[in-house]
Amino acid sequence: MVSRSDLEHAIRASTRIVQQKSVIIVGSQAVLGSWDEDELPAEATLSVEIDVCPMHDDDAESLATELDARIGELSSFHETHGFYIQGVGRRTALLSTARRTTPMSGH
Amino acid sequence: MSVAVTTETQVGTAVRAQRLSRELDQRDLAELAGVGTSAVRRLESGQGSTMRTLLAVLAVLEMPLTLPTAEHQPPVSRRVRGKTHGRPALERREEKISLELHRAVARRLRHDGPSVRAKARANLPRIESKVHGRQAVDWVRQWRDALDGPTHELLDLLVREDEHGIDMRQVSPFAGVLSDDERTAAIRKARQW
Repeated sequence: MVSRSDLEHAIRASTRIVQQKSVIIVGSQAVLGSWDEDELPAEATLSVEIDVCPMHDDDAESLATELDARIGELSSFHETHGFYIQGVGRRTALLSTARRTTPMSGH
Repeated sequence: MSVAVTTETQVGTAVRAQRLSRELDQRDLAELAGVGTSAVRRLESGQGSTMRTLLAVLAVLEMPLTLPTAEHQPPVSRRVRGKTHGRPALERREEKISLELHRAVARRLRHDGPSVRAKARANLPRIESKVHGRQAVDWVRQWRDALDGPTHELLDLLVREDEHGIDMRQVSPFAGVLSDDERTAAIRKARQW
């Protein structure tokens, strides 16, 4: 359900909102950083959410919450693009298998 | 004759009508029910009430609260509720947020059902075009069926606290239903759990 181009879009949107150059993609959708969705089994891209962890955030996870509020579940972003961003706090990201991602440029 | 009520305003209106038909003022009703006059006033104006006050008032007015028996009820969640504030024991932050967002959708549905259903139906084709895998396709089909079905079944599906509810909300068709303020309030509430 989530494609590699969706992942790239998510990275661009997230870095703009948190005003940081990089974000951490956490969870199953991180595999799209290495493979296109057509190369993966259906179960690998089942979710419509992309978990994004800001590189820097306060203890209250304010930026993760900002992602939820601005482009999260049931937002207008979700309505327009068919997927959404789930803000993730650093503590959760450190407990998960994480892939550090640099945003695409020039798009 | 009975009619289904789904909002506090409707309950209050019905209570007031029954009270007036018995030529009682609010103070009389409060005294008979063993509650405060202000509680009756809030109940009738749709500002909310405790269950205890509501049941006491309904008993005085001989308006029994009827509910469907177990064999007619839709399946209920067996998830164990948390100990604080009656919140479900949803472990993950995103599950809590998702549930609070869909509770907000449920409130919207009670106030403006046709509009919410229309928005969700409009979202379904795009969701159907993006899902693959038998399980996800079936979930979307369940949403389509529920949108054409009775309100109480749709409400149940929206706010189920079991694994099925969590799964269904993954392919929710309700994007765009809530305002930014409603979404922000729901997210804030989920973070307070």
